[in-house]
Amino acid sequence: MNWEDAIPAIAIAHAAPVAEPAMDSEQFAEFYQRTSHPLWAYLARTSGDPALADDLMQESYIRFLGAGFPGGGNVASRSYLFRIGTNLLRDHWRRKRTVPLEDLPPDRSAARDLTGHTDSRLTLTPALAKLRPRDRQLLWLAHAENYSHREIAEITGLAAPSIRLLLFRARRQMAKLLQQEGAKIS
Amino acid sequence: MTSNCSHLTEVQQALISGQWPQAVTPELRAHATACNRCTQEILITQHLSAAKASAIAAAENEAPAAAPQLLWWRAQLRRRNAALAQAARPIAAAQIFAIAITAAAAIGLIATHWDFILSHTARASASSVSFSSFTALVGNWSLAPLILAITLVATLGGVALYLSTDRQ
Repeated sequence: MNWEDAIPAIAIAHAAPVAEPAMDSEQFAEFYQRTSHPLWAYLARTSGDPALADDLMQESYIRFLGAGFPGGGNVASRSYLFRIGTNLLRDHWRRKRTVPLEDLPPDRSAARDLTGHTDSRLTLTPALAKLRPRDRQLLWLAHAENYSHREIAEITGLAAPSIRLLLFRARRQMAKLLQQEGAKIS
Repeated sequence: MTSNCSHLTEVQQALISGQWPQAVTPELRAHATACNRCTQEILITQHLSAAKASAIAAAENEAPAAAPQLLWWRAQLRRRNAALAQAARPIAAAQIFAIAITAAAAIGLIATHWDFILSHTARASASSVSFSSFTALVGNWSLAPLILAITLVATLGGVALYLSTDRQ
């Protein structure tokens, strides 16, 4: 008997049909190994809260499995997972502050350094902290995850044509903040 | 406003493949230092990629927040609970309907026999012997259907109420 059999199946036969899981346990374990660290990095860096990132990551995977995502390959599954994480993060911000995401003051969602690396502490973290949460998400998806504008639109739920402009503004602000912190290109 | 540089794609490719700055031409490097758009691209990509790498390294060094097996199990449990809740929805609706019907029957019964109840109450208070009037009421066989209906409504109402609160 393995852990999957430990779930009682009482009355399930009489229950209404629900979505089948997106993948079996072995496929999921493999998917988790490939995606958990990038997802955690995204959630932790954009929220600035590693503990929150832990919680949201777990919830993201549970919802991913419960959603009965039909598939479409690893890339699509990964994008879908990031989309769930993005929505959870947005819900968290909205619930916590009960004001529109765009109106959040940047300093209240300030990111903090996760590893103590000097370069991060001195340049990136203060710059990220001054950005709006949505801008942090957009920049991370575009520059750390290398998602295309279309994929970013799918993940964030924003209109595809506006991604280019929003990214342009966020990039300009971020570059300015980094340069103010003394960052230079190598 | 969002104008691109003609070298931007080349710079992006070099950044993504990890070839920046060692494996690019001196001309491209010289361009990047002079081009505002390329400078932005390099600055941000390098910093965010480094942040991603450090966050992943930190995550790898720490104990995992949850095993994938545990997450899979929790997802299955949630699915099953959702299925059960979905299946129980018609039952809950039927229970609410039963309570409503019972209440309507009780009100209807009282309304149709209101005159009789009033007259009998008046007669009972006039005789001022409550116990004997109750005996007379029970002994009156014409009231049997009414008593039976009240008993039935009370029983059904109790059962419906019990079933609706049983799940809590």
